[in-house]
Amino acid sequence: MEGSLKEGSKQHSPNEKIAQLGKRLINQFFILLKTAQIHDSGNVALSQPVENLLAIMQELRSETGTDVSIQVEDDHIFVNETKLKMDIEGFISFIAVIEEFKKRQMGGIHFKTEVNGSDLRKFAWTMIHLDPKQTPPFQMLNEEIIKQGISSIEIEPMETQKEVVSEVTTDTKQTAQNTYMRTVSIVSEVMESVKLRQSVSLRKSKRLVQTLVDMLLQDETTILGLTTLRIHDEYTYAHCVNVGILAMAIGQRLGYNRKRLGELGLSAIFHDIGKADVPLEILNKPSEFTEEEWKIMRRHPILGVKHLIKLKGLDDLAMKIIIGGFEHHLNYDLSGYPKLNTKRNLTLFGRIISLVDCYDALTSSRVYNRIPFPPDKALKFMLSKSGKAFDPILMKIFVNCLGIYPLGSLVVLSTGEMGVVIQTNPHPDKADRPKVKLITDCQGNEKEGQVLDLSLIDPNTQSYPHSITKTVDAHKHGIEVGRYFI
Amino acid sequence: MDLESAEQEGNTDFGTGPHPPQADDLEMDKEEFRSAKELIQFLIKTTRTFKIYLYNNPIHQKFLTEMNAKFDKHLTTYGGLKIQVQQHKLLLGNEVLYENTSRMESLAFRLYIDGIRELSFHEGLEQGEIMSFLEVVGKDSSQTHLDDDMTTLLWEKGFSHITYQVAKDSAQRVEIQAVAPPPGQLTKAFMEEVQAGEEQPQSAALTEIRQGVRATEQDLQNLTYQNVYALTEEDIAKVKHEMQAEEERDLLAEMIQILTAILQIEEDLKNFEEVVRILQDMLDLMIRRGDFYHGRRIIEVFWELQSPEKGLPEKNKEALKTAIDWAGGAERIEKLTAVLNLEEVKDLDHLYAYLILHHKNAIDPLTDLLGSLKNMKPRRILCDAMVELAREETEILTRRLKDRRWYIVRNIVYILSKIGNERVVDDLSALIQHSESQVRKEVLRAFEVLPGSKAKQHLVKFLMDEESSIRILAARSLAQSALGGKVAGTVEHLLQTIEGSKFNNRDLYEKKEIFDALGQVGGNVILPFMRKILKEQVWFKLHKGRHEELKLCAIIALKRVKTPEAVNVLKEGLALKNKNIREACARVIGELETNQG
Repeated sequence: MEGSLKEGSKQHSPNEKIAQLGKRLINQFFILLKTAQIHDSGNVALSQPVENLLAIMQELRSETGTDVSIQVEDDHIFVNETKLKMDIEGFISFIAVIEEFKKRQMGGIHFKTEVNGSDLRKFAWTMIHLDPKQTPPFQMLNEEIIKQGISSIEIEPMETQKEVVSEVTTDTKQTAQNTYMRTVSIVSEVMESVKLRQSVSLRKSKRLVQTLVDMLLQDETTILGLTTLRIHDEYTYAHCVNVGILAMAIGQRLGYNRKRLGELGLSAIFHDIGKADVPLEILNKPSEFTEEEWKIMRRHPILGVKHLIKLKGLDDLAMKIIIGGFEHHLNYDLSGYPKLNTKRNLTLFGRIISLVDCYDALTSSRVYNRIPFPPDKALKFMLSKSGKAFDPILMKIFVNCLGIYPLGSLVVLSTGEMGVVIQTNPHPDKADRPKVKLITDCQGNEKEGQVLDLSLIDPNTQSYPHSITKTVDAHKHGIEVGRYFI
Repeated sequence: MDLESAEQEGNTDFGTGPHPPQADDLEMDKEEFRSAKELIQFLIKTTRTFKIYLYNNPIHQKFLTEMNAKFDKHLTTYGGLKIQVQQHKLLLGNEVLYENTSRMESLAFRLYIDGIRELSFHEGLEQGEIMSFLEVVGKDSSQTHLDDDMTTLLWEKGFSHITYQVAKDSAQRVEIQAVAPPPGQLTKAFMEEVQAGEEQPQSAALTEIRQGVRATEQDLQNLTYQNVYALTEEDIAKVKHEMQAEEERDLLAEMIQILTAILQIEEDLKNFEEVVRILQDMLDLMIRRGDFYHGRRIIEVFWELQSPEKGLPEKNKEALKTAIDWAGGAERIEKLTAVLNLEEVKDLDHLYAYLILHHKNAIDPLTDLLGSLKNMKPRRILCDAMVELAREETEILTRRLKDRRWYIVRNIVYILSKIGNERVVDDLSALIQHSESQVRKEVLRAFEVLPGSKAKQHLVKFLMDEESSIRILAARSLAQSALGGKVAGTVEHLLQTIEGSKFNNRDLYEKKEIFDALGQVGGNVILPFMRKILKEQVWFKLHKGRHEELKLCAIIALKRVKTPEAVNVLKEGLALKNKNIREACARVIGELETNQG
C-alpha cells in the first residue's frame, strides 16, 4: 500500500513554532556576531542580543524539550533539526550566518542547557575574531573555545560536501517530473474547458500546485530545473507551469506561507487562460505576428478576466487568478497592455507573474520571439528593464532565485570544460559561483555528469580552481539543457 | 476524485474486506484500541456539537477542552495515532475504530472520497490544530467550495502534528523524454564556443532586445552584485510593507477596477455590453450578500463612465444608462427585501449611498420595498434615499397615496414632507380623514413642516380629530404656526374647541395642552374669557371637579400670557373661595414674579 501513496503534510510541515523561534534565534545570533565584531566581549552593547538569545533558547527548550542546536548543511540552516525557510525577512542574517559557519568549516553549534550570558559573549567574540584563514579553521576555533573555558557551548565540524546529484533521489526527481507533467496536462484540460465554456474545477490543479509547493519547499533546485525543459508539443501549457513554478520560487523568497504560495502558483499557472480564445494558428505561428495578430494576442488578458469571472465567480482564489492574469502584461510603470486609462497599483502577484512570464518567454523558443535567449542573456535583458518594466526589488529577488548564471545556463569554465548550471549559489558575493554539471572535458569530449561547486576554494592555492569564463547559447547548438535536470 | 473512481479504487487497492491478521495487529494493545476508539467517537460527537454551538458558547469550549485532553492522553501514552482510512471504516491496525456506511454522514467516506488513506496524529498536537482539524472535517460537503476537498483544506492548514497520506493517481504517471544532443553535437558546440564565435544574426524583431542585452552587458560591467542582487534593508522593509498591504487588499474593489478599465478599452459595443453584464451579475451578487459598499461602487462606475471626459461612444453610454435602469428595476429592488430583513444588516452605512444612485424608475419599486421591510433602521434609510430620488418626481409618490397599505402611505407622506414641496398639500389634504391614525399623524407633521400657509390652514382640521394625541399635536402645531404668523384665526379656532360640546369630556392632559396653546397665541385678548372661567360659580357638586379642572387650565393659559394684565387676573383668583385655585394662582404669580425679577 505504501508504494501507491504519497506523503501528505508531515514531511513538508516543519513545526511552525520551532521554525519561527529558529528564525528569531538566527537573527539574534547574527546581531550578536555583528555586535561582537566591533565591541569587546564584556561590552554592555552585547547585553541585549545575549539576553534575547537566552530568552529564545529558553523558549526553544520548553518547546522541544531538548538543548538548542544550530546546524548548517549545504546552504540550509536547521535549528533543533527543523529546517528553516529562508525568506526575505531573514535573508541577510541567514546568509551571513551560513557564511560564518562555512568560513570556519563548522557544521553545528550545540548550546547546552546551562548556557549562560558569559559563555555566549566569549563564544561570539572568539568566533568572530579568530581569523578563519588560519588552518584548519574549525580546529583552531574549537581549541580556542576550550582555552577560553566555554563549557556550555560545543561546536561540530562541517560534514564533507556531498555531491549535489546524490542528494536528490531518483524517486524525488521522478515524482517532480510526474507532478510537472500532470500539471501541464491539467492546464491543458482547464484551457480546453474554458475554450468550450464548460465549468472549470480547480480542485485537481489545486492539489497539484500544493504538491509543487511542497516540493519547492523541500528541494527548490529539482523543481526549478524542470522549468528549463522545453516541451515543444505542449509549449503553451508547459510555459504556464514554468511561470507557476518560477513565481512560487519568488513567493518562497518573500516568505509567503503555504496557502499564499499555492494561490500564487495557481494564479501564475492560469495567467494565460485568455489564450484559450486565441486561434491556435496564431499561438503556434512559426513566424512573427502581423499587426492584426498582435491585436488578437493583446486581448488575451482581457479575455481571461471575462472567462474566469463567468466560469469561476468571485471567490478569493478566483479573483487572485483573474487579477494576476489581467496584470501579467502590464509593466511596472504601467506601460504594456491592456492600455490603462487610469492608474492602478499593480498587485504583487501580478508583478511577480509579469516578471517570470517574461523570463520564461525569453528563454523559450516559442512565444513572441522565435529564438530563445540563453538564461543569463534573458536575465541581463530584464535587468536593463528593472524599475521600468519590472519591479526592481522583485527583480533582485528573482536574480537571487536563479543566480547571475541562472539554472540551465550552458557555460564554459576557466579549465576549458563545458557544463550546465544546475544549482545557484545563495550567497550574494558568490552569485557567479554556482554548481555546474560538466558535460564536456577540456578537449570537448562528452562527459557524464560530475558536479562542481565553483564556490569551493582549493586549500593548497587558496584560489578558485574553476570559474565561468563565458556563457553559451544552448539553443544555437541544439542542446537541450533540461535533460541534465531529469 | 469522483465517486465512481473512488469506489473502483476501493475495490482494488483498498478493499473493504477483512485483512489477514498481522503480527502487529495481534499484539496491539487492547487498551490502546479502546482509547483510540473512544477518541474517535468523541471526535465525531465534537464535530456534530460544533455545528450546533458557536465558538464562544461554553458547550463548544467544553468539548474542545475535553477533545484536547483525550488527544493529549492518548498521544502521550501511545506516542501517536495512525488511522487507516477505508471507504466506510477507520481502522487502527486491523481493528475497526469507526464504521458508518452513510455517505452523507460518514467521516471515513468523506476522507476516503477525497483521497485520504491514512491519517496520523502525533505527540505534541496543539489545541489550535485540533480546532482547525475539526473545522475541516466538520465542514458540510455542500458548504465546501467546488475547488476544495478535504485534502486541499488540510494542506492549507499546514499542520505540524497531523499528517496524512493520499492515494496517488497512478493512471496519470508521465515520463519526460528529454532530447539528447546528436552524437558529436556537444563537441561541435565546444569547438565553436571555446574559439569565442560571435552571436548568430537574429530576426529583426529581436534586434532591439539583443541591443538591449549588449548595452546591459556593458552596464553590468560597472555594476557590483549589490546593485542587481543584494537586497537592502529598505528593499526588505518595502516588500514586507507591500505584502502586508496585499493581505488587506479589497479584491472585489480590484475586480471592479479591472472591469472598469476594460470598459474604457472595449469600443466594440458587443464586447462592451459583455463586460457591463459581468458587472451587473456582480451587482446582483453584492445585493444578495448585502454588500452595498461594492454595489454602490458598481453603479458609480456606470455613472462615471458616462461623463464626457471619458469619451465613450454614445451607444456605450446608452448601455450604461440601461444598466442603471436595470439596477433600479422591480426585480433587482425586490431582492433587497431578504437582505434588509435580516436581523442584523451589516452594511447599512452604504445603503443610502447605493440607493440614491438609481434612476427615477427605482422610485415605484422602492415604494413597494418600503412595505416589505420589517426593520426600522433600513426603512428610515430607504425613506431618506427616496427623498433624494423623488425630489423632482413627487407625482410618482403622490400616485401611491391611495395604496391600501397604510404603512406605505405613512412612509410616503413622511418622504413628501422631507422633500418639502408645497404642491403636494392638496394630495395630502385628502388624507386628513384617513382611517389610520398613524397616517393622519404623519399628514399633520407634514403640514407642520411644508412651506406656505395653505398647509398650515389644514392643521385646524385636526383639532376635530377623533384621537386625543392628534388633537394635542394639532393644537401645539397651530400655536407654533400662529406665532410664526402663518395661520390666521388660531385663537378663534382654539376658543371654539374649548367651548365645543365635547371639550368637557376630554381628559385633563388634553385640556391643559389646548389651554397652553391658547395661552401661547392669545395674549390679552383671551383674558376676559379666562377671568370668566376663573370666577364661574358651580351650583351642582356633580360638576365641581370638571370646573376645577377648567379653572386650573385657565391658570396655565394665564401663566403663558404672562402680561401684567394676566397677572392681575391671577391676583383676582386669590380672592376665590376654592383653596386649590387660590393656591395655584398664588404659585403662578410667585413664579412669574421670580422670573421677571
